[in-house]
Amino acid sequence: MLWLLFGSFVVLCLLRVPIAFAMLISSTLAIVVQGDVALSIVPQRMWVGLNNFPLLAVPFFLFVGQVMNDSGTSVRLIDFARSLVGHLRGGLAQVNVVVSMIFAGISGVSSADTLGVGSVMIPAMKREGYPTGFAVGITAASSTLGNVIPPSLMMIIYAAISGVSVGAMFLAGIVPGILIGIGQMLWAGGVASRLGIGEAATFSGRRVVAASRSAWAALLIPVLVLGGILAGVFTATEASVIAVLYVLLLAVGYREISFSRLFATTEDSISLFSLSLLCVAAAAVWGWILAFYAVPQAVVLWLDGMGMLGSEYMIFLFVVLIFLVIGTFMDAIPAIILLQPIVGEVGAAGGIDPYHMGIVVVLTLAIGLITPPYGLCLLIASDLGRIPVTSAIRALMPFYLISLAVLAVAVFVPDIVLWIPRVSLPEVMPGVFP
Amino acid sequence: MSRVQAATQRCLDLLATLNAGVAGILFAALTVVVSLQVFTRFVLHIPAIWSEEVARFLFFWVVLLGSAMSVKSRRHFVIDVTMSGRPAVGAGVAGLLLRLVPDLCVLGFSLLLVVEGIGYAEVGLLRTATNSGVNMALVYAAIPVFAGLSAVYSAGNIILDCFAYREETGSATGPEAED
Repeated sequence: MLWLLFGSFVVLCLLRVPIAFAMLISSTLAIVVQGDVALSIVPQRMWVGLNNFPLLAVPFFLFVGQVMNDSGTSVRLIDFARSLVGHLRGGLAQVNVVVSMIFAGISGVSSADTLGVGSVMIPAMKREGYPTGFAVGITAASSTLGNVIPPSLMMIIYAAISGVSVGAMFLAGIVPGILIGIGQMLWAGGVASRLGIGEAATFSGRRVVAASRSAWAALLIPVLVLGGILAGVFTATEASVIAVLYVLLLAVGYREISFSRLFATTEDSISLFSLSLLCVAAAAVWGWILAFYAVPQAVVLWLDGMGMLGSEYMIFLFVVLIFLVIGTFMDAIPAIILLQPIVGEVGAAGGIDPYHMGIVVVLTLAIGLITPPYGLCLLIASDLGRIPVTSAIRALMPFYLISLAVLAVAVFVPDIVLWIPRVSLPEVMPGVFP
Repeated sequence: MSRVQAATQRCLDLLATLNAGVAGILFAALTVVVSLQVFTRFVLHIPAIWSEEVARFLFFWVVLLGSAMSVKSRRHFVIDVTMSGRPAVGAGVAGLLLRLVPDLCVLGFSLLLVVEGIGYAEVGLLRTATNSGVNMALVYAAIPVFAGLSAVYSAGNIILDCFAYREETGSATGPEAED
């Protein structure tokens, strides 16, 4: 029966049937052929899969990013980042990274960051003489931070499926996000000094004050969201709706979004977040079938037979490799959804902290956002820069290395990554300092 | 563009507008309900008991209505082994058929889900939610509605693709051969 489940899934995917429907159809086929279970399990599991309160943060954090782009908040944030780091060597490249870090602290989606920041920064960087490949590369690479620095859609989905705390997962993303950001800024400085560009501006305190005057309201969002979760006041879902109300208030306050525009933004957001969430519904059916056939346990036994469960690092190597491969041709969220039933079981069998596993999975899939053939951020950024994807690959190489280095830190030195959630949410993560 | 083609397009667009409008209203309602929950918890310190439940129900509806919208726009995640983000299919009838496979699969599954979803919603008639008193059939009904809309949209996409194909090639081997 398993060959039918996996075989039909692979064939359907190759025929470009949407992943969510491929999961549903192959699960249905397996149920029909097996014959012991009524098909009403399909709608029932779809309901169970979506009947999960933490998932409500997904639409809200996505909507926040869309409204920010459509209301001009992104542009104000760029001005602010420019006043802050525009004078450094490789000014605009530095701005690109810093604004992505701020954006990441507000919205939970990398692709909104690529679009919002890239549409302004790529043309600006080209005008200042940066090679287009580099401008596209740094835009795509820095926007992957959107899913590493909280809030993050990937983390919400991972946490909801694995039954761990979204808030604690968020907090685990802070250190790796900042490390990647710093790495990218250092590299950008190096490239700019080699090319001899971007040292024109001088730092002016007055400019920072002026820019923060128009950006402070937006800058409060990360403070509110992260501060609220750090202090244990809000849950992630509560923080997400507060962020929505806040950006709507800002958009109306700055009179930068019309009602019809807002409706279009809403419609687009609904269609966008449904893509991930239909996968969640389909995965509830898929995961049920996998459990029915005891597939996760079989994988655990198989790995154990090869002696891979003895070492934590072998398990991580296995997980990282699988997600790197899958992430190159599949969107990150369906990848998590598809594989988490198995990866979760393997991690548990190897005694790995689910938060440690979560941050490794998220960091791995963030790399997938900028790897061809299917790297969403890379596709969007190349489109904005009007170059073929292949022209950005060379410029992206150092960024892959930076992300991999931080991934290695997360695998080998988890205490650096996990201390923030351990300290601020001790009731969720009992302080097991080894 | 033939008259049938134009009429199909118009009907689909009309349905999609209605679909998006209802989804938008429900999303607004969802935002209000979750905000209310936060408000009652933090400001009034008397958390409302019904809001968390109603929020989950609204969320279920919004997601499924949104998923149907993305069936029409063919936006759902696919596995992409090409560099371009577009299907690598050839021209001719074989190419057309290959292009139609995803929508045909969605159509077939959706028709099945309409039947199963109605059955499931009927079971829901007998159950009411604990805190809000909402009849569960109202919630589960989202599944057959999603399935029905997806069936209409995928069928519509198939029909429009066949017309477009016939226009491109200028031959008569179009929709009749396919159905």
